[in-house]
Amino acid sequence: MATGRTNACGENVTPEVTAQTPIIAEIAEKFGVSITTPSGTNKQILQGNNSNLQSINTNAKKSGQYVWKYKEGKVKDELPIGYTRIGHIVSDGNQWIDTGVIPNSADFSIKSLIRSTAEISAENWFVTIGHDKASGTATFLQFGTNASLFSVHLTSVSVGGSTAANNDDVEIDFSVSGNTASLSGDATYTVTNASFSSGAYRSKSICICDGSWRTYGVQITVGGTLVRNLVPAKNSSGLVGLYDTVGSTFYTSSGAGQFTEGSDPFWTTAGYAVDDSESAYPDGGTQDGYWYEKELDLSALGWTKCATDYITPSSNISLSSSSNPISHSLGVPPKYVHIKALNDFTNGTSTPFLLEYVGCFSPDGALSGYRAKYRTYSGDNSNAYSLKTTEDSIYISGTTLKSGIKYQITTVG
Amino acid sequence: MLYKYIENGIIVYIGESRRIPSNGVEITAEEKAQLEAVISAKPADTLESVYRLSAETEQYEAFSRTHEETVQWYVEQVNSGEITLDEVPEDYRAEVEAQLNPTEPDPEQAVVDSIMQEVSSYGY
Repeated sequence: MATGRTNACGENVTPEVTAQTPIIAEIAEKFGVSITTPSGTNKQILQGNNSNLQSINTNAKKSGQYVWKYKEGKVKDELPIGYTRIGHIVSDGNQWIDTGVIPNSADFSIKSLIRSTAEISAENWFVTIGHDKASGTATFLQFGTNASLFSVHLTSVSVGGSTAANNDDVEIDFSVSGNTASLSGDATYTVTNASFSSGAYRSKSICICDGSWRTYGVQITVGGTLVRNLVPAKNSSGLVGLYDTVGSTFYTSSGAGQFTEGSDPFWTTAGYAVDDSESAYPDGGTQDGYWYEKELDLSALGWTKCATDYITPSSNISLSSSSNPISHSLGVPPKYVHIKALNDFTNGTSTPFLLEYVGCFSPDGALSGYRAKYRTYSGDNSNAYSLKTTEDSIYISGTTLKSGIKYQITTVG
Repeated sequence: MLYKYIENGIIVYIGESRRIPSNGVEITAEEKAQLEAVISAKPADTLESVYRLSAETEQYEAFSRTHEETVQWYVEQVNSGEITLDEVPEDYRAEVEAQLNPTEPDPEQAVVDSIMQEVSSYGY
């Protein structure tokens, strides 16, 4: 309750406190609003309500506050229609891909998400720059496994590594900058020689998936520019390969036989939102190969999901409690459903074409409130039509969706 | 994502969602625009035929009305004043009349009425 001194006329004459109370500033920032008081206002009265303000600050949530959600199972590859993302591709030693990338004099790197399927002690190269393997010094450059190590091999110059090879999923960045070749990520190694800079391999094409490997993805950067982002895919004929989302090109085997399809994706903990700051992830974009979007935080309402879908019937659809369900993408049975016709229309018949529907379930799951507004030839009316929901469908009895009208379906659960 | 929902060879509706339902086939924005143009020019249904959007041709094709659809047609004609009940063919007249003058209460409406009556007794 406000406190202060009043004069004989009942006016509050408590000395003015000019400093804005910190809690008011906190609430203003939380709600994204400006809370100011005109000069001369006795802020002490506001401060006197501190306990109430603290309660608001603690418990209130602005509608539209967001939390980060990793969209499970969704990786934004921008694969065109006709191509399907798969877990990985498998090469048995006979297949390989010519990426068409020639380093020339630029620095370059090849980030590979791979798994060796050969004996660890075996010589098993994933990258070969210069697949013709011409004889001579520095005529081709390779990265893979050799002598049980993740290794780099520049012909007649050097071969070696320092990290033990394995048959696990690994992410390794093989890069050459000037005279230095290095491995980083799940393997480390550095070697320096002038031939890395001047070798004849530099005028040859980068080839990958050589040897016996699982390939989950490859990114090639030349001169600091991503020139290939290769993801496992198959085309509509079932042909397996890597799809480059930079150049919109599908690469299949240049060697004998074809790659085979694998379903397991690359194991990683990446993709789970671990940072709730507003700038943590690109809203509506890709980070680390995973698609992030902000979602409304509905947890205060006991809801965790919302979805909006649209349908336009090609003919009138008579809805009933047992047939002609409306599809939704919430993924769980909705607790709240709102359906609205987005186009106005006239109706010269007695068919009750749906204008708007609202249905809500009580916490125990019973349908507790539902009302539909519909239009017939005699005008707009309202009536109660029941509702039943499943994880992907909505059944409403007694009304009709009109042909050619776009309906918005909002579900919350 | 855009899709067309197909059942029994008929495009029932075109949709927009983050997830394509079963029976849904993804389409491009151009294909959606083409289908919307076809839907906007849907031929009017007649007593003899109802028009449905073929998934194969993506054009409306005429289908003969079922008995139930014919009853519904006559119900609409009587309700809109186009014809009188007496003008409905005898084979359909009883069913049409039943839909014009329902004798059975809507069981779902009865539940709503019951709930409303109980709630109102609480003084809300």
